[in-house]
Amino acid sequence: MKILVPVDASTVALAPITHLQALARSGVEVEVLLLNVQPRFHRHVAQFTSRGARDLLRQERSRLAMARAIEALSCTSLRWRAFTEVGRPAERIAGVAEREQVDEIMMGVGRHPGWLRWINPSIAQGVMARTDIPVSVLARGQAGVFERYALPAGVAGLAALLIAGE
Amino acid sequence: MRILIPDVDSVNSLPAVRYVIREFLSGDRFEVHLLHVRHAVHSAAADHALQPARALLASVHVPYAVHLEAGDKARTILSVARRISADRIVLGTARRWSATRLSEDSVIQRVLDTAPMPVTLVAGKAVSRIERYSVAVGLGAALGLILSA
Repeated sequence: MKILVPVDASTVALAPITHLQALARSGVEVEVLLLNVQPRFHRHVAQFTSRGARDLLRQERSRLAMARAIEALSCTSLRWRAFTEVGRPAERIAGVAEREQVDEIMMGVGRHPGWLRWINPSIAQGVMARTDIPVSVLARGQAGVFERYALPAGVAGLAALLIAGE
Repeated sequence: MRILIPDVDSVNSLPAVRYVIREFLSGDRFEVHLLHVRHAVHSAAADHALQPARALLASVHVPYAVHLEAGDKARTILSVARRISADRIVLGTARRWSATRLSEDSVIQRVLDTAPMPVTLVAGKAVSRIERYSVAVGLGAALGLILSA
């Protein structure tokens, strides 16, 4: 079973590795394709830097982002390969999954409140919209109190102050 | 290993069943729990909705059980998953930007947000151009009507 695991530097992104280990222990043959997607630089940044310098920076960031996942995978008996891609995460993840003909995409994600997801849509949902390949989501953690209440309350308070000021 | 397949909508749950069957045929061994959940359960309607999924599972001898539940979809899916100690939830869903998906989105998101076990989303058939644009046009028209009122 070929499984694509997109990772960033977060701890939640490592969740699939533990799950895949358990899957391999139950007798399923698993091959892991580890993927990190680095964003393109804004054109205002790109015009003042060389392509080589940008590629070097992306490589370094990608190496740092994948370091923990590679370390975790090295301690297991799982077969794995690592890739770095450049572009929009959801687009590239779906693209690599199609190109490598994986059986499944497995993503570890953090739990966030609805309003935050509305502003910053989930990459998992974006991937699912772009491919027929099944997407497994392992949600970890809890949305913090600040994320859930303090920020929306602050914005509402500010709006109320502005309205009262008028 | 136990896999729960909730029947969020009967058309798009079939790709989830096919996906699970593929895994079964590739050597993975598990039992499948089909869950039909609606706000009110009518056993005849549930039988009709689950019939294609049951036929598929039976054709390849995948062991399965059927659960009929009434209640809030996301909450019921999670409570059944906990009750049967499911190792995984496999959800068949409509593609994004489809009319069906608009009604499903909150259920999927709530399951994703709260499930302690992995949730696999299997996309259904691709959205037709008519369906894709009709959603946008419908929303635009509704917004236009609200603004003009």
